[in-house]
Amino acid sequence: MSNDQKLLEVEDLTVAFGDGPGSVRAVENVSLSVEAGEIYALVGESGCGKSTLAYSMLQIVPPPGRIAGGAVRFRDRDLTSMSKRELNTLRGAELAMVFQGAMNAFNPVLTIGTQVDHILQAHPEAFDDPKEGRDYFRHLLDLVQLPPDRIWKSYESQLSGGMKQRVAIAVALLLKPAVVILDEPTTALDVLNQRLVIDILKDLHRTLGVTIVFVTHDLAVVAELATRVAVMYAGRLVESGTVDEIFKADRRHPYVEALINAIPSVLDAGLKVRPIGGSVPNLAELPAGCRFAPRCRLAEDHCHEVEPPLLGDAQGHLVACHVVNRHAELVEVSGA
Amino acid sequence: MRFLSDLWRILRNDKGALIGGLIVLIYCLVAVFGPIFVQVGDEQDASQAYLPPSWEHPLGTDSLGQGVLEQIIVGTRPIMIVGVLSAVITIVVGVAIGLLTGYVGGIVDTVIMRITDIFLTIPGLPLIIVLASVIHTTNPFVLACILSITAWAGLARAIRSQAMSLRSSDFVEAAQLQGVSLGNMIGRQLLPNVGPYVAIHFLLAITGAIYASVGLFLLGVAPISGNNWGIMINLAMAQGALYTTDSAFYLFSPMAAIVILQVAFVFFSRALDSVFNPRLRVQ
Amino acid sequence: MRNLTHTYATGSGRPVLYDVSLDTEEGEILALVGESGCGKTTLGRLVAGLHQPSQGSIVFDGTDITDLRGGKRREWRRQVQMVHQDPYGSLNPGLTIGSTLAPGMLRHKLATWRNVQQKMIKLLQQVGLDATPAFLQRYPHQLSGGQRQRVSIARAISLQPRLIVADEVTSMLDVSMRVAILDLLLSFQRELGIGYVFISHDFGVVRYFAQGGRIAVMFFGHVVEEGPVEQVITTPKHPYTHMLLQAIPVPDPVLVRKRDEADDAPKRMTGEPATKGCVFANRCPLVQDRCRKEAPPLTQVGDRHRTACFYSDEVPPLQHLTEHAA
Repeated sequence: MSNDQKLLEVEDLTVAFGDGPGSVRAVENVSLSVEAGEIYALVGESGCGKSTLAYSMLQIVPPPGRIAGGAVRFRDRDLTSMSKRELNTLRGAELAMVFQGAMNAFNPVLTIGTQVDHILQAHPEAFDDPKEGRDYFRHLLDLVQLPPDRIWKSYESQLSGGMKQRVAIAVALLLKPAVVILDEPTTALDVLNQRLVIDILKDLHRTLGVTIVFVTHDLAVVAELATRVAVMYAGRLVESGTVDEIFKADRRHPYVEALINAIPSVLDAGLKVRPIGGSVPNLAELPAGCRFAPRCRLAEDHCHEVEPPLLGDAQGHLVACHVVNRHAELVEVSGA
Repeated sequence: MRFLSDLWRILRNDKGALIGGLIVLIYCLVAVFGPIFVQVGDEQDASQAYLPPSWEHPLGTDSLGQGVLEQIIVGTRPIMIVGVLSAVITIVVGVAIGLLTGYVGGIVDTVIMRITDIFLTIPGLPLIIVLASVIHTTNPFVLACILSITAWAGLARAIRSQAMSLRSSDFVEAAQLQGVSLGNMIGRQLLPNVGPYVAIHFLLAITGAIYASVGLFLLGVAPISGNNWGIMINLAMAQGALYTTDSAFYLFSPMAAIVILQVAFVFFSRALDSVFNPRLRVQ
Repeated sequence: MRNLTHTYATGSGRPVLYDVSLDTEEGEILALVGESGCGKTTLGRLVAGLHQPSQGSIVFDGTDITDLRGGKRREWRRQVQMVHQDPYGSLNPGLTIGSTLAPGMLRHKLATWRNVQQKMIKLLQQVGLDATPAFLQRYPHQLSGGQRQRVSIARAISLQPRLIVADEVTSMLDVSMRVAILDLLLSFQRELGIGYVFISHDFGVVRYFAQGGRIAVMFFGHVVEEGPVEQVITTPKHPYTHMLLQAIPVPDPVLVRKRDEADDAPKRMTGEPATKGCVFANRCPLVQDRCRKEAPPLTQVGDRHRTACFYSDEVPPLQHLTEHAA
């Protein structure tokens, strides 16, 4: 992977909440990189740090959270050392985000059109004239399968949740960013809306060439949409690789395997489904050794003592597990 | 017991609320125990009027030679009693009506709200003044009722809208499914959720009642008997304290006492929100 | 042994439910599935007695509940309970767990002040929580989403009901916890004979939970297909059911690619419900003239399997599901 292909890079990042002895690390020593044109998925359950990681990609981790170590680079520029002004020019225009519950982010007393106009006014450098910007937005609405004229004149209360989610995606793409980060884009939606959003994102990726990073807990959405995946557990990166590598059974992290088996899918008659015993560890009281060990079916004594390093193979498939990494030709990697 | 330790922890973290709380506590202690230890003498000696502060009378003397500080201490109890009583009546009536109408709705709501609206539109202070001057009473309970006569209406409205929004929440529905009685619904389900609001309103109601009662005595509308701060100001003005500078202590002491107490209540109320909100109280 | 028969119609203004008739047996599971706005939640709430139907009746164990009052209503109330979707909203934030669990039992005389604590501890044990007095003193904000949902379930079974309406009970939980909650509910079906009206938009969850039960697929207030879960999911007989099943994200990238290659047809997933003729006409890939003129009634297509479509024979089987099973 040559350097000029890496669009977004997270290097040994640690994000902590609070100060001193009571501080909790929501993200600990995580490294990953997103190449241009990829669809990258950050997967994990609530509390694993994936949303915090996504927020730190835009340097918008809310206080008392702060970057306690490492760096985030966009096109080789270190975001952690940029001024607020520099970051503001980047955000929205190069790096855009669609937040969880973005459907609630609209101003209820203004029409969608007015709100889009405000955005265009705030970024006059994006288009030669406002009309061009409006036309482009209409084009985006078409791409997300919404009627442009009707949406432009609507208030947010007149739109359903699924429609608002799609409008939010269109708004994020308005200034033609290089990367769009989406936090749980399908989570609050029903089956058909979910399918729509998945198809639309695939479409947008193909037509506009935008790089997509999305955060989710739903492995099915990952299988449908992602090209590469990073799985997090309790603040740590436990596995990363292409979507096929993650879903294939060989050299798979036990948490990923357990997660796949814990989801009742319409594909099977539910006979193989098994819940994961125990619960996610309290980040303030982490066990020694591997964080997943207390719940892991493969755990050995060694696992409870030493945290497993992330080891990768020639294809760049990284797994952090003592047991699974045995008997394989692996290289210790500090970032990918 | 846990309530008190939680309260202490919250106060420790908020210095303003702590100081406010301490001051309120001091006033309460003075109200309860003051008159036992301090009396205002019976001798009235005009030659002792408006003396500056001394060991014998730390805040000087009034126009009749009687100690100002002693009068303030003795005057605390009646004011506090009336203030607290009035606030209690306001809260009890306002919350009960607000929760009932907000939750039950329908014709009960319509009828009671019309009545409430009437009370809302009647100007409070003039009504109080009229009632007080007509009903010559020294009974603190009656006085408290008069003071609360319109105050409950605004609270009832506010509580009603809270009850209406709570009515549609899942846990209220779940309680309905459990078949709880109306009493339980209002008392156990809804009331704790308006707790913070009520607690703060309670304090503000006390301050409002204190102002109103002092006002009544000051204006001479309520019968002047015994001794309290409002009476002190009234007498001070009536006896020409405004015209000399020697009487500064006499005139300003009761005012200072009132203001300090009110400010203390306001600061203390900052802690109340946390105390009544389980999310903030129990860590 | 009929337990429940609903014959509803309409809400106010635009009908929310349109002439829906369903029934369920004692101890059986009936799953209600459909997109948001289809009326499944309203139907569940009508069954739980939280609303009155504008037309029609809800018959529980032979009695029409819409007219019940007083003591009889209280007795019925005890037998039908509900668990809500949102674990964060369904517990009173101002009350301890103990104060949330106790009132129902006391009111229905299932416990006295003396033994209610004991009974609550037993409930906690039954739902897999810390069965200690200390736990009863905790507040909802100190519990996780999964724990809160268990408390809601404990509250529901505390009245020893015969039917529980479960409204999207796992949607807001982490994926790894869903099966545990579903297993818990299933254990109550086995041991206590409780039946469920299970509302969900997630077919995977439905397939797991309602094994051996029945499913009703709803579209904008109409039941479009109804039958045994396995049958409806593997061989849907209504184009809408087919569309829903086809749309489900599949947790296997290999299958995803295969499916995408095979199935290229544009799907019309948006489109207003029609007011004349078949309600699904505006979105249906099989639509013909007849569909726009006549509304198809629910007709038998298999053993206890009914569908509202004239062309149910033409509904294709689901490629990727059958392939995976093979």
